[in-house]
Amino acid sequence: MKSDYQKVDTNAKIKSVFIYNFTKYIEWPSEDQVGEFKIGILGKDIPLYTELEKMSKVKKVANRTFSIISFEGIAEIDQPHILYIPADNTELLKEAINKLKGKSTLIVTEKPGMAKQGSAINFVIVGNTQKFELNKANVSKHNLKVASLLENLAVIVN
Amino acid sequence: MKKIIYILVFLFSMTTAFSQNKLINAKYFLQQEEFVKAKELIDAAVVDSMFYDLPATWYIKGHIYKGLFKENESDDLNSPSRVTAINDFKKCIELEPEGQYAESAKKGISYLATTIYNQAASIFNEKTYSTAISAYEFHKEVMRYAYPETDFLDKDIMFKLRMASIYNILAEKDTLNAKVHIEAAEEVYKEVLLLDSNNRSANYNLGIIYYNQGVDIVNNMDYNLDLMELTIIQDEIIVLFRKSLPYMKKAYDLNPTRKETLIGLQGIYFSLNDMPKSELFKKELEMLEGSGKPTQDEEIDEEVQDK
Repeated sequence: MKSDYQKVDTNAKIKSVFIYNFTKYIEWPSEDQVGEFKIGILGKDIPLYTELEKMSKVKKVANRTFSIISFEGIAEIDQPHILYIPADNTELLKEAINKLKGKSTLIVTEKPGMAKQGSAINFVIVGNTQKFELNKANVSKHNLKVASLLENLAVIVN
Repeated sequence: MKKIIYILVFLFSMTTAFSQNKLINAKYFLQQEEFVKAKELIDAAVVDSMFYDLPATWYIKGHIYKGLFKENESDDLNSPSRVTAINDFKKCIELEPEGQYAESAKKGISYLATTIYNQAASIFNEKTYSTAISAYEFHKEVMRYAYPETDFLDKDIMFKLRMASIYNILAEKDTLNAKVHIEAAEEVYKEVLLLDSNNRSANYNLGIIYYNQGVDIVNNMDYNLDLMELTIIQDEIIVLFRKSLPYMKKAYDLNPTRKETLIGLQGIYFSLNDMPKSELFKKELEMLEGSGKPTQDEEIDEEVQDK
């Protein structure tokens, strides 16, 4: 416990916990259940990248190690299991969707309205806390399945 | 017979003269700053019924012991000579509550009380803080005897703030008991705000304590935390961030140009997911830093360095 100001991005840690839970409650096709579990960030979100890196050192997805990647642009995206698009890069959502069409990638965003525009999960702020919207149709489009427990905790968007 | 009477009168005169000389000589050696010789004489004088009830006796004795304290025991917090001097001045005031001796004796007490205060301040650290606090309380007791109307508010606040910062240091060093030390600091800051609700430092530090409590919960979260638990924890930390906010805002209102307060508000609003307000304070901080003017924090740092 520190007594002076702690410069910590609390949101990044909370999002990392959410993302780790997504890996447990989303089911990827069997062919994508081997090898490293790749989480990509489109653009630079240094706090989240750092936090996911920390997570990757102590956690696994069913004995699979994590690989955390930072994509500088659409062209670099190489079918990660999860693609995180920070708020600053929301305008790239459409291109990312096109790039990942038919691929088993869970697209996660963090700007109001994005679940209706193609992302599967969208972080939103409700009463100062982080919540998430879930668009089941957008999940299905990428051959993924959602566990009912995750559905129950999500704000469902159609 | 006549001869015997003469001898007795002579002896009585001699004894009286010798007794009077004890006080006069003690005063003489005091003026010469020969305190050891003065002490012998005054110690003999005070057991003499001729002088025991005289304010002057105790006034002179107080000064002699004050001199002994200054000469030999000025570094000793438990200086016996200082305690004796204080008691002598008190005795002088008891014998003559008003008048010249009383006023001078009060000044003597005030001087000695100040030396206690200075020593208390100099040993106020994480190792000897309890001794320092006892010394400070003794300072107040002594000072109040001479000047009952003395206002200790500023000193009380200063000592409490120092105590709180010592608890913070202990929290850093004694990590096993960090929570206990931080809670102690929290209580002291609250005490300061009861004395002065506009104390910037206490407001700022209470804001930081509650903010850090929220941050600590986040830092200690396991990535594997269940989503239901995460919801509960998020609610808990939001309570803490909201609790910290009014104190930090108050610190800002009291001094809007302190960098640390702007950083604190930026962080609290960020953790409350209120990004517009977090950005507002971030920009205010950037403007302050870009203005070329030193921030309040830097001005204070420079003052400390100058000293």
